[in-house]
Amino acid sequence: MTTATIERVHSQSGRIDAKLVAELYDLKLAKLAEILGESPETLRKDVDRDEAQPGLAKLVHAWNELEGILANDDHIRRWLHHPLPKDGRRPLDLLLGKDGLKQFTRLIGRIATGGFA
Amino acid sequence: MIEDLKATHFAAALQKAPPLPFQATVTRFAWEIHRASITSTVGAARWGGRWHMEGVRALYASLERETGLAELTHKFAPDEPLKPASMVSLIVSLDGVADFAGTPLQNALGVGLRDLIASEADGGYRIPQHLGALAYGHGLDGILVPSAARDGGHNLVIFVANAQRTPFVVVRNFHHRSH
Repeated sequence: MTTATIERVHSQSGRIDAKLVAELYDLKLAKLAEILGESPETLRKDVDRDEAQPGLAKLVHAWNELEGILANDDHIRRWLHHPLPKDGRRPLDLLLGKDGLKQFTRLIGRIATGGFA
Repeated sequence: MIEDLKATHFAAALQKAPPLPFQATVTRFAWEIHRASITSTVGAARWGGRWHMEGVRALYASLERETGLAELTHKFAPDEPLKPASMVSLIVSLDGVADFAGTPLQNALGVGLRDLIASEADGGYRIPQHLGALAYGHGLDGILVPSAARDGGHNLVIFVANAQRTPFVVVRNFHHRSH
């Protein structure tokens, strides 16, 4: 993981801050809570709670992989919102859909490690 | 999930197809950040793919360089600025492969090209994953498959765990001896 990504998403406690991850992905905190299977109120009150850390770490890792491929944050966010060529699905829709975190991290994992079409 | 009848037919057709020896130089690309693991099967085993299930050590490579690049970049628009990538050539020698890219085996299986390259969103991994699992289960070293990223392109999937001997050599430095 790049230092820049770590600095951007970690709170002073050293844990990953859900609010900062939501900003990275340009998502509302309530939507991120849904993706993580958390209650929005609970996550809002405790943005770096232990229970959310594994899911948040997966999202940070996925972002880091995309940083190794796409030009910058704007390009990553734009790519997340656009339909995939020859596929039609938008990466963000995968993340927001059923089993979203698993589907999304698999997509990014395949792309990053040279998975074929 | 493949229906029982079709699964039985697939298994019988593959059983009848004689494994073919395969020797060629093939190509694989990787993003620069993953250059050190360009021939690793860890990612493939973790995430699965069109022709293999999660847990299987499969190495995908392309018979044409253009196909290899298309496979690496297929999830991005042609005008999307992308970071650097690396390429390797692999000299492959396998004892037995099944040629799913060829019409004889496709006809025997009763499948068409469209069944093998449909997008994942349309459930397009279902048949190839099943066929790949059959070939892997039969102990084949690899399979030749059509590319879903480039029309007319061909790929090789090496089942590393099945290969009885070193399946490929990465081209790095050739040492010429002059006389």
